[in-house]
Amino acid sequence: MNLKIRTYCNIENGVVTLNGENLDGFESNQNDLLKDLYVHLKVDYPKFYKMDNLSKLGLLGVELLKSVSTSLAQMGEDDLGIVLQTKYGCLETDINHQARVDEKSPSPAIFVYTLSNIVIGEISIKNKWFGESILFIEEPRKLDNLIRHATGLILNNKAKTCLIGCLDSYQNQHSLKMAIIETGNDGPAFSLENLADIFDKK
Amino acid sequence: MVYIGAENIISPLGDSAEANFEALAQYKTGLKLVENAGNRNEALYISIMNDLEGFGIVKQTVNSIKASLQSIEFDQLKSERTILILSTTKGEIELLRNEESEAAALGKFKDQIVQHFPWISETLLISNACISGVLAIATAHDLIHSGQADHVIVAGADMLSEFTLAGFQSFFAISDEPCKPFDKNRKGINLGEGAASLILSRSKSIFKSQCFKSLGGSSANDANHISGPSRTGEGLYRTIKKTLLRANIKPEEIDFLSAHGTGTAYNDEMESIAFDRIGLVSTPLHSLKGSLGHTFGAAGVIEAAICLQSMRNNTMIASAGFEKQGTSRSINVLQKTEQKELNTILKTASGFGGCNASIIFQK
Amino acid sequence: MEELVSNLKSQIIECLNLEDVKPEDIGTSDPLFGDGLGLDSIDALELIVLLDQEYGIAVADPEKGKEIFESVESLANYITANRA
Repeated sequence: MNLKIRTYCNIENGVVTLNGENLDGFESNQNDLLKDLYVHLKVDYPKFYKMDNLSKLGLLGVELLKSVSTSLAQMGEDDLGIVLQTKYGCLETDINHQARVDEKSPSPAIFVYTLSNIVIGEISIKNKWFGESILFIEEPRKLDNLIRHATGLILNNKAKTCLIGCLDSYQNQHSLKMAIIETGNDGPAFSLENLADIFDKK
Repeated sequence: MVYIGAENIISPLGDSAEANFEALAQYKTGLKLVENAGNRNEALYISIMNDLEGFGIVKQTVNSIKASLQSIEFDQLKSERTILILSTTKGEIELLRNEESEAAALGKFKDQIVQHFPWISETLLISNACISGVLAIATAHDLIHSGQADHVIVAGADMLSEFTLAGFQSFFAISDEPCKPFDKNRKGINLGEGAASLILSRSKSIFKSQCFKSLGGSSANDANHISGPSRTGEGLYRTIKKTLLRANIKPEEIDFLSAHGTGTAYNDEMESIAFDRIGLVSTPLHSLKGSLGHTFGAAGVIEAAICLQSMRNNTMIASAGFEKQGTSRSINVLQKTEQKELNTILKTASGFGGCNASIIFQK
Repeated sequence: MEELVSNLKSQIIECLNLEDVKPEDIGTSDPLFGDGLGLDSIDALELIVLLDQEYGIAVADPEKGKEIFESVESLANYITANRA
């Protein structure tokens, strides 16, 4: 099976790249990188402001990919598999929730984000994707985990296309690596070497 | 073929799958009224091992895995192609209270478990809300089925904490009585804690006693709301449909259905709609939440372990708390523990984030 | 009453993270839920927390929220009637 990396994006140290190139005309003062990117991409999805940073980051990663990927924009409802991994998960929201619990005034709007997979829920809702999805707690460098599960989903006919990614948002540091994996002839082969290479491009 | 067995459960009802099954068959419950359990010191029904935050989740998870390992030929299992999959929503979340924020990260929980099993070359941690356990088993199946692993140990665990209790209280989701999944008078969930594990393998011979076939599973998202269940049971319907199709099983071939059944108005209604759409309304089903509370990342593994015990004993466990049909679609909720030849069982789960998963086991 | 209504509009925007909404965009008698502001079930729960924190009013039954949170006006009336 010919699995290819079709489209990819990175967010690291305030720099946003899409298919290895700096995002055209995007500047951010970094204090509010996620909001700046939301405005730049003209997403127009007021629910964005209600999300925790991990969900905002994941949603924006998908919007970045969609801005250049026709296949994502035309994805069949059940065709996309989502495999994400995160080191810290929702730890930042956990800390915020615990503070409210200590004050005896827990917030349901914060508590609901104390599950790391909510980011997948937000992506699925925004894009009306009903397919397979899974969230791993894993170090970003363990790219072989993404390869194994995305390949598995496509090989087992559970998905036609896969959205893979590593993302973390903790202590105002946002880091995201995301890619679309498809069968076909175009793009670099879906190998550990190629994936590490494109994700490390600055 | 993928085989499954060697199940263990640690809960307030006992520290083996057999003890838990026996207790459940005799209508025993892990739920008890605990004073000052709530965020504002309310008394709450919870299924608790010792005292609040005294579960010792790392130790219990390790104990559960060790108990499962007792039931297999260890020399055959011990290989580079053996993977451990952990399933938890919050791990050792109690550490957050001591402002040890990074110690409460799930990666640290995984590291602590891994230390006890240095011979396991790879450990994964799935944290996918209330479907974590079922998704972990389905993932284990796929890893073996696609030749990426020979044996997979699946262990699920979650602990009771003020963190989770207070959160669900803010959702007004907690019942002030023992919960009543699918019942007309259901008022919400009870929380519980526990650990469970089981083993999947491509080899039947590693199991010391009877093992079963895993026919695999799937997941699907509601794409609707992060906390409210879909009004059409969309994701649950889609995952069951996919799982049946992949396993080449018709709805009428399902002898028993181990449902999620949290005891909230919207969740149980959603499940009944999905079961109706699939054609499972007459299939006998239960939820174990009325006996063991909702144990989150452990729930799917505990309930799957009870599915295996049910097949061993050809016995379907009653759905505690159920008296009167309480969903718009009339479903077959078991009021009594019954004997029945059980060959094929479907296990489902649904959770926050709109996620749903299902898996089939067969004798 | 006018001051309460004006405060409520700002508090709702703040509490529910309605970043693109200004107080003057919220009609005092306009429905809060449904199409208007796009609020959902979690927002309704969050408004219960707001009532408790800002006004010391505990709502025990979330079903009651539907009436209380119908509009800023109904919310202001409820607070006026229940404030200690």
